[in-house]
Amino acid sequence: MTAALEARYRRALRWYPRRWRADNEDAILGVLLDGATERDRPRAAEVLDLAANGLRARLEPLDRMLPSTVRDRASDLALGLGFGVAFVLLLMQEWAPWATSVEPWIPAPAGVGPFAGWGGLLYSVWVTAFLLIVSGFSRTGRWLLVASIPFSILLVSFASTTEWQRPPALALAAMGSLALITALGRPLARRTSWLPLALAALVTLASVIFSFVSNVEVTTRVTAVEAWRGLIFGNGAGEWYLWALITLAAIAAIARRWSWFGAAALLSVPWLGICLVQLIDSGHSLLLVGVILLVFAVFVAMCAWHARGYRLVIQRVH
Amino acid sequence: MASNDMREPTFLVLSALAGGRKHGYAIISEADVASGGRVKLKAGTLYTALDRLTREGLVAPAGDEVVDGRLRRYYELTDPGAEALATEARRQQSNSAHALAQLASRAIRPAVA
Repeated sequence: MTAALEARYRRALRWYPRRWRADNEDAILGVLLDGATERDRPRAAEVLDLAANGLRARLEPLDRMLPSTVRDRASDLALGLGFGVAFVLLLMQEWAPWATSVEPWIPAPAGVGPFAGWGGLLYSVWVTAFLLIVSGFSRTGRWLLVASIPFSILLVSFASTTEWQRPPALALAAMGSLALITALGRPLARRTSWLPLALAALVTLASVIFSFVSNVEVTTRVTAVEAWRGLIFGNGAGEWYLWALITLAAIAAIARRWSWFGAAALLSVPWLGICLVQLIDSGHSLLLVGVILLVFAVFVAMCAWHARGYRLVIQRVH
Repeated sequence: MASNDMREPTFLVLSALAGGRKHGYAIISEADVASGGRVKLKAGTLYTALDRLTREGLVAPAGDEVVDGRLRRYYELTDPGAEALATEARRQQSNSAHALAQLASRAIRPAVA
């Protein structure tokens, strides 16, 4: 009986990385067998616990690369940013009853329930997740955001072959990246988290609203594609987010606030990717894109080395 | 580690080791008794916590023994671990004392007609 139980526990322990098992497998097996009296099978709860902690051990290198303080700060900023974009677009672009066309002869799109398109559902998920997280239901909110990622992938996959109205693929990639960054950390985990979250949300709300009202009449129905291309990516707020994040990263590096530097650098990666794709789309050379990427990579690497105590010293030999 | 970040399972693991070096199953049993049966640590969770506490220097491995053909790995509390546990225990004691004082003042407050 014990041999069969031991074999089952050893199978459950395969969730752990090989190196961890080499160091600890016999010791944890001893604990498991000590706790298993008159049983020939592990309990389901034990197997789940081993699977969850084994996966966690496998993800530890990621944890070392992105410490929890960096992920938590990036999570606060990503939540504020994503909510700001989602809230404005939900009300000003996707909420069908408010978006009446100034040219009544143009037929309105079929829509999805009370929304002008599927983007309305995605933005509703974001707004709901935000409300859940600020109300203290952080885990549920984060899972909701994780669930929005496959939903966005489905939208990109299916909408190209159907008549579905949806935000452009780049916009879905941006919202997906923000959802992932929010879920990687613990938003509002610290007492000081409220200020960056509120600032990120308010600045985003203000910039998207400003971009919206200065580009189109508020009551004009714009499609999801127009809203993102014209208002956020194009001449709108998108580039400003990237510049704001790079500025925040630079200030943080000068002030040696490495968790803020890491958070701003992490958050700027998806926006940088989007800006580069736009540069390629608008006919700029790949060389320029490569140079921008290289400068960014060198900047991040130099700051990371600096944070680890390395210094580049220019010394006169003679 | 800031003391207000210490979660109950961590507190119970450190408390269990405060009485001397213990192996994994003994820590689980001690935490179960100390929490009145509320906290039943599972082996995976315990080892994740022990790995983290070892990295933070709050506990340290204290030898292996083979008993009835099973490996038992012992852990002990380090000096920084004892300090962190004492700080957290004092914080909880102070919070409890404040809560009890508040409750006592509530009990003697005259009822509003």
